[in-house]
Amino acid sequence: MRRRDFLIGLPTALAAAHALPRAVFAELPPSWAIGFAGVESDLAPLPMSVQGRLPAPCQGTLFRNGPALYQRAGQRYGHWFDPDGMIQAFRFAADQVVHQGRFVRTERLLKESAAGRFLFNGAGSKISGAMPERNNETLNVANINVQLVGDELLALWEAGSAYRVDPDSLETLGVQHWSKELAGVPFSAHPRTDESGNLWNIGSASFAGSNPRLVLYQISAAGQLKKFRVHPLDFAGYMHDFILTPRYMIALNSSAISTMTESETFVGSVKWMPEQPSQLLVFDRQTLDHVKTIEVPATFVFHFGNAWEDQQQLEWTACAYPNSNFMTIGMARLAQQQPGPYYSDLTLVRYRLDLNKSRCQIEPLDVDLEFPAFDRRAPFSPQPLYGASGSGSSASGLATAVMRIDPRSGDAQRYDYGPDYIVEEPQLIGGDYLMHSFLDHRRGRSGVAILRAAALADGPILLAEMERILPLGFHGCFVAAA
Amino acid sequence: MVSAGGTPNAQNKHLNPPLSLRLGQAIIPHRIDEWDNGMKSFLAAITLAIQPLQLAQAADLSILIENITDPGGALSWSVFDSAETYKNDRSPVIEARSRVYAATTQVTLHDLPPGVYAVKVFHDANSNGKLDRNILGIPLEGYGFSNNKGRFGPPAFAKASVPLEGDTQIRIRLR
Repeated sequence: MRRRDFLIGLPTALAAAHALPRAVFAELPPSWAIGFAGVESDLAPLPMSVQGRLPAPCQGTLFRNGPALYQRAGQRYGHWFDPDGMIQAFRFAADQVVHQGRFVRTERLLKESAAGRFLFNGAGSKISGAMPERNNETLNVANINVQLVGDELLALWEAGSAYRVDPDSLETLGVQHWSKELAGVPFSAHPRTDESGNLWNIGSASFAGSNPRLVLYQISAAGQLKKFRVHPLDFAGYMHDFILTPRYMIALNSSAISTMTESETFVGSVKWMPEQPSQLLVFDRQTLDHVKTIEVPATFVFHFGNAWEDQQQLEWTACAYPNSNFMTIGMARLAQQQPGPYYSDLTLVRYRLDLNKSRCQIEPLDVDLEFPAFDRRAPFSPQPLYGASGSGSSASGLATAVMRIDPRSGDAQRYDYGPDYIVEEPQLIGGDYLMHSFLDHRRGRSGVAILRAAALADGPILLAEMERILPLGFHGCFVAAA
Repeated sequence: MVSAGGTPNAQNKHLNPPLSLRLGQAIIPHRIDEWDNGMKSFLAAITLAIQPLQLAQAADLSILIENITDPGGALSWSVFDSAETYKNDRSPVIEARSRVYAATTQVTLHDLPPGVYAVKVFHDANSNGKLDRNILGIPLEGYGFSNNKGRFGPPAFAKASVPLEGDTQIRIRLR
């Protein structure tokens, strides 16, 4: 028993040592490090300074979520996945832009806030004196995405339940319960909408050790559970997003495999296994039956673009990394404000899957595009893909540009803000405008920019900025004014 | 006050021999003592008893249960003396329930034969007789193991077990 523990424990111990380097910057930390300083309390409504004119379709609210509370009682999280989620709202009216931020009141945040210290390990950080958790839900920080479902926001994590949030006050309304048997079951951070407004999602229980499973969900446009299915997995590959087509849900079981142990965090337990082909798991949308598994070369993907069907071929785009180093090493170094490399060298790739022949072609498009955005009104049309770009060549390993690419022709346009900026996930508004938040770390400002989607290279037509510095976040949505 | 072995429980007549003990699922009334632990909470001191065959070597195992976060309901106890019974969740040497009155509870198992024991306890907060789980089998109510080991699944017997040679006290922190 002991020997077996030792054999299991050794690689994770090495991985942990690798993931938490001792290196520090020779001089002061670079200016981008302020994006990982974190905030410790809610942020009251604050008018932003605005340059440019607001296009009418952009009246509304940009909601974003991201890790925000980095430290308590002298302890600091060591991985970007871990800090408690804060919803940022940028409310765009004709005459002003107002920012507000509010922490999601998760069960964990309330407990740790009352205790005045961190009580539990994070998905990627160990806390000294951590208490054992009851289940995955104990660790839920609701910090990855925020999406409007029905008339409420869902603050989404990926290894547990979503939390309901009021879009006007940003107050937390409670845990989203789909059904009794689904209490605490993972509901991933990237639900997708079909042509009729139905919501589809996966939930990856890759942390469940020797018995990893994938949950598939269909939710009505009004936010009611329509059906779900639990599918056993061959191995516990990390899955963050999935592909929705007119007929199928396709999950990519990546070759970054979790071997959850008692002594390690989830991220610490993930190992890149290049000898294990990744799997495309194809499910029928009508029945949620598993249709096929198609092996593809070992890959790691956080995010997918939209998908379309062309004859018997299913096509989609993916932001593909050569391995899981960005998640296991780069995201820890960033959160710890430590020198790179950060391994954010991703490539946008185009998948072409012939389902009958179980054959898949993967073609690199030779651009780095992350945080993909597309016109959600036409989820299954081939269309330009928008995203943040430049992470592979920037000092922080994070994007400095926005870009647009036609995945079929390769035609691309880009606007680069330069090395003083970090560009966050863009939202496509009505097909005509691109809105994204950013950090101007040299001047110490957070802001939101709006560009014309057809003329990205011209740069922003509106900039809303403030001296309030927001922690760099992950995902969100734009909700147009009623 | 309820003395050791004096619990008015119909099952007690079946307590012999010690290694096949089952106290069953009945809720056992026990003495409740008020303690001052500085938090104005109560300590429910509960005595479970086993009729001993080997009095000369028998010992007491006292278990302090901490961090009972949900009010009411009952704690459900299972004590195992082998890796096999522990792993299969079958044939515990003691199986019992005790009411929850406070965030902390103490239980003493009297006159256990010397050996190696592992304790599983869960908080049946809604009194439905089972540890509620979701569709993935993940527990939704509080639970704990001796030695407080285990993450995303119960610890192995070797990690959860405590040797009992003389009177022993352990703490289990419910999670």
